[in-house]
Amino acid sequence: MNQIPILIITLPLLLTPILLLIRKINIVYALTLIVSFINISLILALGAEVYNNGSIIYELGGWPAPIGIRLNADLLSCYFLTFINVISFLCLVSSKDIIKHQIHEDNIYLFYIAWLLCNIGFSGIVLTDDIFNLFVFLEISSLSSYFLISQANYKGTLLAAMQYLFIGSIGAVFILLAIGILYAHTGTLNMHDLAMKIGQAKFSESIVFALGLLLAGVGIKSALFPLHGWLIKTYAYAPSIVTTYFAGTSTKIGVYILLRVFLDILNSINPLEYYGLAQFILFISLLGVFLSTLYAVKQKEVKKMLAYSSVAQLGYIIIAIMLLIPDGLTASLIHVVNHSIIKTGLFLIIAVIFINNQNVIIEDLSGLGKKYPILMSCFFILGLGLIGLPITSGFISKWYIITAMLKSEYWYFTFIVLLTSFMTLSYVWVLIEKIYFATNDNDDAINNISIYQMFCIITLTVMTIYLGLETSLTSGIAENISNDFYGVTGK
Amino acid sequence: MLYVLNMTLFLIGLFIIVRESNLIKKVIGLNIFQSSVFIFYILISKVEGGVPPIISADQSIYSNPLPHVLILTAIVVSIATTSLALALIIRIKDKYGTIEEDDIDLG
Repeated sequence: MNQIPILIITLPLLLTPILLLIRKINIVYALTLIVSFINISLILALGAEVYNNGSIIYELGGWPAPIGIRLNADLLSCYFLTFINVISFLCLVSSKDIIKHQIHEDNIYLFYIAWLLCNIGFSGIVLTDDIFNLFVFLEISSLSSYFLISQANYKGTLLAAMQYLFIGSIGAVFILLAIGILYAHTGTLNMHDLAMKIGQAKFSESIVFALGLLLAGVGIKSALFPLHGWLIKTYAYAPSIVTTYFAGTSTKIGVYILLRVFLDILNSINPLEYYGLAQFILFISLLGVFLSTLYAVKQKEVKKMLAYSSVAQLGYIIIAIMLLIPDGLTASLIHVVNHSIIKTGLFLIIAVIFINNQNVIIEDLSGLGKKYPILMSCFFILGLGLIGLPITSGFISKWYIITAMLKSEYWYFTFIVLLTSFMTLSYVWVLIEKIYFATNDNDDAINNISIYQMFCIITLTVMTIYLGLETSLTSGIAENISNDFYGVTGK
Repeated sequence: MLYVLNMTLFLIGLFIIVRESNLIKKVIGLNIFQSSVFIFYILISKVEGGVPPIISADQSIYSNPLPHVLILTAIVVSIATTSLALALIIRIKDKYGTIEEDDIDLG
């Protein structure tokens, strides 16, 4: 049981050089799927163990804590680990037919290797207990994601990948410098050790500087409002299956780092209360939610519309965190998972239908309701989830966010959340109206949607409804986590 | 004083990345930017009166070797980033015929 955290990282890592030698697309694809599936089973076992008996710590090479590097699987880690790997698996399952049309045949095996590496990076970030190790895993996932993005053949793809490379590297270097400053103050890199020592360290301006750098770095990774430019371009120009994967995972990793660093490691100095930092982020995110929803309403391209909608939903998540009350944290954790599932589902449906299409504009959706009845009813349900209507999981997370807001001192913000929800309704309705009520003159052949892709989309839809009706799964764990963070017993 | 110089280097790098339109120059800026942080790590590892960390009988104060090791990792990351960026630039040159970011016409 104690070995599981390291296995989750090393199994795919050991597989990647083997895949590099095999090169046969079918074998590479099968092995990738198998190792992802093994990973999910390991993670579920780990999650159950952690949920019942508390966190599991694995010491690399048997070196004890402050000197050696540790992996720490606590409830927050397992929570993120589970949904990231499930989404990665579902995307992998449905990827085969899609990428054949989008990526050069010789590059497909490299594509899967980069995918595995990217997922290793994500899992590593979530599991590690060493703050420098976090930076290394962050770079592993970033470098492979630059490669994944650059593989599409849109006109703007290469430039989008290049710009993401620059901004991503700047973010990573900010985080690296901040880690250096924290190390200079405390002399430790271990997260638990750091959490203890930072409280005793002499407070100085340079810690504030480090906080600013960390915030900027994490803001870039999680597409916090004014730093969201890269997200729109990469989502619009990446291969559609990569967009699907990143919509559910990569920005959520930024949220994880934010939670881990600001609420866990630096908890003892309450970094978010300096100079009204939390209020500042709150206002910025609120503005971000409003503006990006406005942009989403104006968009003609479906992918860009959904990308702007992602920025808005991330804004909700950040707002809920910045309320700095346990209910807010619970709400944001629930919304992280629910939004991931909904957005992955929506992007996946677009990816499956428009296998070749360059830019999907709204008109392209005309009359699809007749051609793909099942897919489009899934789209309809997921769309409702995005708005936050009852029986979908979106309703639950909106409910939690609004309740948390009413409990905090910022009750008047609920108006803006409600307003943006109505705006969400307007752009989702435009899509649904086209799908069901517009007629289409050109009759393109109906794509063959394979049974696997169908299975993935239906799974995501069922999960959305299930998490909307049976809330104890997400909210129970989320409440446990936020009690840990704000615990009465103290962390 | 050294830290001031170091931060100047940091800002120069950042400025180049933001300001330049030529992608190769941007990569150079990124390298300067990353190197300044590497130098920062080396700076903090210096202990007053410390000697290189090789155990010997007549010395008791050593400089901190850990940041050097960390930076070795970060340098590898930086090399990977640079080579990926250069590879992308080659493909950009093939596809658009220019490496000036402002001249690329996405029409």
